[in-house]
Amino acid sequence: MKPERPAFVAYPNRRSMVVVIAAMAPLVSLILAALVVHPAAPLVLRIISALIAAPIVVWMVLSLILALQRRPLLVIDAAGVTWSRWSDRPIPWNALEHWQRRRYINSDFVTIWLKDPAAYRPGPLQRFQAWGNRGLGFGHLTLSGGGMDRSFTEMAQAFADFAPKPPLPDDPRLARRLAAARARNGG
Amino acid sequence: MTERDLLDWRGIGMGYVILICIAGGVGMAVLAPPRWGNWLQKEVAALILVALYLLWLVLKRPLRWAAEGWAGKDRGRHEGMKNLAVILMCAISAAFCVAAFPLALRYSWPAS
Repeated sequence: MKPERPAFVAYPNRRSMVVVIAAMAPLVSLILAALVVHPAAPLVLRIISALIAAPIVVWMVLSLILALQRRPLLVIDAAGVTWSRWSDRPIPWNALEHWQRRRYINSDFVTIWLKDPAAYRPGPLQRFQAWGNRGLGFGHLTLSGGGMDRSFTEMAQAFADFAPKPPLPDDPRLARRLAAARARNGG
Repeated sequence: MTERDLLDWRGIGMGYVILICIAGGVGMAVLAPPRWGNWLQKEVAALILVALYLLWLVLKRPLRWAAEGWAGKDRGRHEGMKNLAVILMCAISAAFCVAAFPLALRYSWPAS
């Protein structure tokens, strides 16, 4: 950890939230107008289209809530990680089993495995998302750079600076090389 | 252009691509000659969408160069351009939302 560095504090990126709402609103309007409420549409098609529109509406509402949020979205400091979309409760570094930076379909993520996931339970939507992420081989908690006013690179750097380093591997040669690389990078 | 600018423009560009796709679909439903069959309409709509996307691919780099050239190192201009692009997107989006209901009533299902 680099104690001299300031905490990483990211707020929601209001402009990108507005873009999500503005791009999705016509799609939802068209689905509603042409399928859900249209008098000529068959009942089955109305139900299917309503089911298709529902997650888009949920996404829009969540974007609106984030756009109006005034408190930080993500704080990474010496104490741990506080991700307001997951919970208002900070996750201390000693609760982490390990973390990893991963790339999946051209997007970067930081994924975290917790020692006791039951101790840091999120809300129902995040629980559902975390369940899907676990199916893809990610950890209990997965952060992307999306929706923040800071970049993914800055977030990953904050993890690298504040999170405890993973233990060195058993292979002595590999451990020596890893330790040397860490020393070179100042950590 | 900073990393933040590129990320912002990527998001704004994606928003416009979605609006272009919606406009392409709606435009085809509204403008297609009535004698065209359903399949011909869909094929032409798909071709128009591909053409619009290709146009976007061709235009986005010159647009970026123009934006970089005009704003230079002036952060205010960069942020102003992004805000203007989002305000324009909101206006287009609102117009679509208002027009969706009369358009759907007129074109989505044949009158029985």
